[in-house]
Amino acid sequence: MAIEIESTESAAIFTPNRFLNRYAEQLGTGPVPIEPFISADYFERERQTIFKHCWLNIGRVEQIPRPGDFFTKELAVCDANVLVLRGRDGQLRAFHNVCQHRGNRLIWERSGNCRSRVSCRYHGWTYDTTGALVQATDVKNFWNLQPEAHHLAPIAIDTWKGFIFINLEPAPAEPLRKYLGEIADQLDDYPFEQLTTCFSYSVRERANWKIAATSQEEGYHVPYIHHQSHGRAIYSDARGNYRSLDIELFGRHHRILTAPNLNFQPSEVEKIAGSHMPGFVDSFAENGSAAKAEGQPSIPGYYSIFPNFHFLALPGNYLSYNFWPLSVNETLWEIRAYYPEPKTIGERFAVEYGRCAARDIVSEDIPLHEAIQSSLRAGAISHFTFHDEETCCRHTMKLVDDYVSGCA
Amino acid sequence: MSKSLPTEFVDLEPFIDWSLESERERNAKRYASEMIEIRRFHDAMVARAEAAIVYLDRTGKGLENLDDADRTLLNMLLSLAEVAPSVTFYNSAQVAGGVDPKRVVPD
Repeated sequence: MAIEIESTESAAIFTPNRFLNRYAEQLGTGPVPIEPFISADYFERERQTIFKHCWLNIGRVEQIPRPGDFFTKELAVCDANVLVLRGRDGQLRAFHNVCQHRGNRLIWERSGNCRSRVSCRYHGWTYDTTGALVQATDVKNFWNLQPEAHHLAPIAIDTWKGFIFINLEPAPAEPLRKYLGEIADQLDDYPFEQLTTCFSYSVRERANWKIAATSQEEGYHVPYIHHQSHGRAIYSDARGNYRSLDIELFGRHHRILTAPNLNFQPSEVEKIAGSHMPGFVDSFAENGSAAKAEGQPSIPGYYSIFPNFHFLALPGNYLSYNFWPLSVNETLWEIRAYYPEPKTIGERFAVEYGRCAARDIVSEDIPLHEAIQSSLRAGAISHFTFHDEETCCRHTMKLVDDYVSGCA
Repeated sequence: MSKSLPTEFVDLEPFIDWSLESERERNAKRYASEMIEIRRFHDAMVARAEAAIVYLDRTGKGLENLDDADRTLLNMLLSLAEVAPSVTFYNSAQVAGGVDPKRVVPD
């Protein structure tokens, strides 16, 4: 990534509307109506046109490394309960988690290992790890039962850099790699596979999923709501205004590159943690961490994979967000912090600090999302007026609207 | 059985209540504490953190095989990580304006 930190101070960063000048034709420049955040009809159309149509990240390969390993996931927004299973042959497969006899849920656990067979607890129908029906109990008492007609209902599955994606379309319009497009090229060298220690949190927010998601895809808010936390490590100009290094749209997806605060003053704990491993807050600042992550990008990048998967790729660790709509007014926000497996006590300490800091920073955002949703429902604001640094929010809203109105 | 620290770190004995196994317990203790107590623990622990890290690494037992006293010390280090945002970010036990931590559920 050939971006000079020094260019932070260059004139380009102070050009007004530098991103919207680039993207105005594609995104428009006007106010954005709030109906998409509060309309039940609009939400229903999102379910049908986006969540039952797009590739969705639902996990990572490290969750199910061995044959027979599985996890299940309730995706209310897609009306689906998904079973992701690593077969005896090592192959990853996804199915509707539904017995093909009478439609009972097949596996009730969230994760585990099924060895080589899965049996339904209702009437004992049993499937192998390829989803084939291998035993229907008391089979002779069925009228000409054809086992091959009772294979578990498959769901399209693919992986990219260890991230597992599924697609509820019986025949997805395009393969995952093509769906991701150029944004995937930007991350070819990012060592996701080395960052396997994961701390995860989830929170049920009383807010539309796009309130939660768009609130994360802009840095304009950082010097305000986050001024005490990671805002300390992120660049603002002499007037205190946040300035991205760059914003780039890649088809349906986009990336924000964050500029470091060159005058960042790490705290005592940040100094200790940062001497063992690049941490969370200090990763934003060029001078933040004494421990350098070899061969990793030094510029923090915030990546949004449409529709609901974001991650913040930092030097040495990353944070991922999945925003799962539960209803028009409610979202399950999943937050995961990934680090290298700590080998020393110092690294264990650094990872714990990063995890606690990330958790607390996210905790700053949640009450705002809920207040906003409540304001929108009250009819107290009719439009959002997006700043140039909020160009990615505008992009997301445009994409959603294109899908919902059939123009995507 | 009451907890004890390695003899080299008995000076941290007054803060041994901060030696807690899980993130939920450490977070709950932070939220139940006054800022003055948090700061006292933070300052005492920061002064000894690097020495504690070196000491625990020197045993060569790895993260999984620490004995009880070493584990007590490690959990106090993890509590330092827990309270660090209170001291560095918020000057308050709580996340300023933050959500109820019980709603942010670890998996």
